[in-house]
Amino acid sequence: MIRRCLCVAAALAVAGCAPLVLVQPERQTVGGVISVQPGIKWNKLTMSDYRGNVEVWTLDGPALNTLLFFTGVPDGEPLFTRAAGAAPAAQQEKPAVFRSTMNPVEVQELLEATLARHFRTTIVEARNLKPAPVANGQGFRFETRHVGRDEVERDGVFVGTIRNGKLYGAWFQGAKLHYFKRYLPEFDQMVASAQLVGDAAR
Amino acid sequence: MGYLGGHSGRASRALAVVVSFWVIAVLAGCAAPVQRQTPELRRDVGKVPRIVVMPLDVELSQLSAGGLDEPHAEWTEAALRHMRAALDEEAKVRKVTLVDFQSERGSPEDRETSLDLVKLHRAVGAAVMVHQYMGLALPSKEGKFDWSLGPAVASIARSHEADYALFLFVRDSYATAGRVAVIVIGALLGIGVPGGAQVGFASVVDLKTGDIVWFNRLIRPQGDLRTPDAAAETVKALVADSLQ
Amino acid sequence: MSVTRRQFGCACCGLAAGLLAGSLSAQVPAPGRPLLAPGYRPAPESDEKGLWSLMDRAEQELKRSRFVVRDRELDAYVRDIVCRLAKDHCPDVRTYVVRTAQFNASMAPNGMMEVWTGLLLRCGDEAQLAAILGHELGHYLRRHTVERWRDARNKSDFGAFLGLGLAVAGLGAVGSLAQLALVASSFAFSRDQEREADEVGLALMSKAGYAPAAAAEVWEQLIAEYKAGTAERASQVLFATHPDPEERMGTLRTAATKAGGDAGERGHERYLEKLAGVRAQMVRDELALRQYGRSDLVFERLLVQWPDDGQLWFAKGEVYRLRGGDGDAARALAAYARALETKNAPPETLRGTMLVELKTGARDRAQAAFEAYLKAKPDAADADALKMLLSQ
Repeated sequence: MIRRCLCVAAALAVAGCAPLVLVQPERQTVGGVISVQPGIKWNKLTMSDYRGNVEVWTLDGPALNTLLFFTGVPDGEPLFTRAAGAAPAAQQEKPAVFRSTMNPVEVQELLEATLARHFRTTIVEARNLKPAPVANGQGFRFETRHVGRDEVERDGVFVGTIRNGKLYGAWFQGAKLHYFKRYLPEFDQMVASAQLVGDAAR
Repeated sequence: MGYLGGHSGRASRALAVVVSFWVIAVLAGCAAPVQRQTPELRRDVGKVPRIVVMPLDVELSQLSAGGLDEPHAEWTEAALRHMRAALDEEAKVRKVTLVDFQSERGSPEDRETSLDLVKLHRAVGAAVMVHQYMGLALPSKEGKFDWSLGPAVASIARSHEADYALFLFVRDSYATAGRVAVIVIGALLGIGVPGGAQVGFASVVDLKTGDIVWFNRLIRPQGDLRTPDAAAETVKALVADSLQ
Repeated sequence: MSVTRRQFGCACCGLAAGLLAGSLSAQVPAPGRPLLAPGYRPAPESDEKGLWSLMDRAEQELKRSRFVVRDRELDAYVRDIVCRLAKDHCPDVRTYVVRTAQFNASMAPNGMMEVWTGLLLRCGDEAQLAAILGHELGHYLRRHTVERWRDARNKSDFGAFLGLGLAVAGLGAVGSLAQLALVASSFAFSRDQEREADEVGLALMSKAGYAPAAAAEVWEQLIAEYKAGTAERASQVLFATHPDPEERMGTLRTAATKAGGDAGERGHERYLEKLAGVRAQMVRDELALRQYGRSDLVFERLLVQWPDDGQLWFAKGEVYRLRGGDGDAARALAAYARALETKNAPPETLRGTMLVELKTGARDRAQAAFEAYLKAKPDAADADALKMLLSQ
């Protein structure tokens, strides 16, 4: 991981773009569709392992915590996939996809399968699915737990809703020791502040 | 450690590596290798600070002609021995007590948590290296060094009755004669060939809070860690400052 | 630290080169070569000692891994099979069951053996498991890994031997020995080494009283499963390390017949009983991969062995439910219904039924299934979540 980031930093220094961008604690629009009000400074990753209708933020670096926004996953697409070139051949099998007709239980199962694939692990589970108010409407929320190949246990929480056939939401995860609990209140208040805007609001 | 096998993209990879070495050289000047949060370790009146030495995470490897970066057990074991001896020396001089981390100490929960903390420290250490020293700074931190393992470190404080924990992480790769030949020929042809890299850091964690109160990055050249003198020098350079 | 991404493009050329290299290798085993002696230790200054020390340290890490299944009865069972096969070498071998949903087993030169749960799920009986373990013991007793490792270090292009690179890359721990140990014990074996391991494995099996026919069976099943999928061959971990199994099938079948064929133990019932504790988890792990064709084949085949197993009928139902294609709702309901006719349908069968009924708009039937689920599993953690669905 260290070597890979080395080369990334170099390539970017040459290309002149910044891999990490400051997000101020003021109202932000993510992907043109989700509006949130962070309470503290965040960092947006312009380069990451995640591909798809997602935007990735972090506080202490992706090895320790990430906030994944789902900016309108359409019917027939996976929640996210690994960046091309970083995926071993095993990942050439087609991934599980989102369907507009899914109910919250099925979305929960989908995230479990997506995490199992993305982090190449069998230790994934989601629990405590409950209805939750999301962006002036009805949504749902559940907790996750997974252990990746680095053997670090991670807790997470997903909040989302399906509008006009697309999935909008956010998944915050962090190392169970310290890095998740510390920022959960910040995530909760961001969720409370969330609005769907732009194409999502039609 | 990376395995450098395969034919594809050799030239572009070499270019990327050459560029990266340049960037690192430039950045190395910018980021101070030592970060400390507190001017010195807490010395409660009448008590000598007890520091748990966590299992030294050191791997010395050999980079063969074909690019196989292979861990070398003998070198690693020798380096571990020399480094541990050097740590003991330093501790004597600085008047602190070193205690070896023992995974069987403490209650079952403390044992579990302690092992989880060792795994967490790898991730935190890597994050510090990447975001503090390797040019991928986290803008939200505004240059502040506020990395921590969190309050769960109390499990180590309890089981070892200690005030601080010391972590050491070193990955060092030495080129074989065959590899050196490849590098030399590569240089003649104007192709940068990676020679093997050295990555290392030491961190001291305050077991009252979990905060990393001292962090030092290893800058090459610190010497050949396969020899006792260089191993001792490396330990001194990495650690001595922290044991004040 | 993960394997660099540059190498990922090259598994295929690696494999091909590996096959060619095998035939040019000077390591062609002579017939009647003595096996590794029990209690063997490499000489202190030898290169092999270095490899052992490395493996020993990797083993210390593996011991602490969260992916090791800690089920005492299962552990003891796998160890007993290995000891039955390995006889005098039994004290030299340590087995670890690792929770990975892929078919693989491997053995390091220091006697550390890994068996993945994907393998345990797929074996139809104890003899099939013994066949694979015997094959790996064959590689160990004939020191194939040490040979390949030496070859790799001497050759100027290591990529040729790392036919496994891709599949393994994601499977090891970050920056650790465990990953390397896995790679080091997983270099692609040559064709000659494969045949030798088959020979030794069959001999061990028949001496231990197992039916040798199981050996050809399990490889054939694997080949069929690979053909049902769409991924590159190199993604099947076992195929990357044991190239071209089809090519060996003819020889293996003949040899298995000569070694006794179907005569010998199968351990059919005992296998089912010993794996009962981990079965549900292995099924869930397989389903999570969402490789419907492959999973369907696996459960279909196991149902031939155990036609009245509720766990397997439930698993089949889940495949159809999760795939959710045309006609899958009906297929899922049929499989769940069949499961409920057996003696050991898991309560989740009713959960699956409820979800499918709800999907097709049959609310009353969904409600009934939900109530039956709660009755069968009063402490169901997802009861509230399911109730929420019914109320929407």
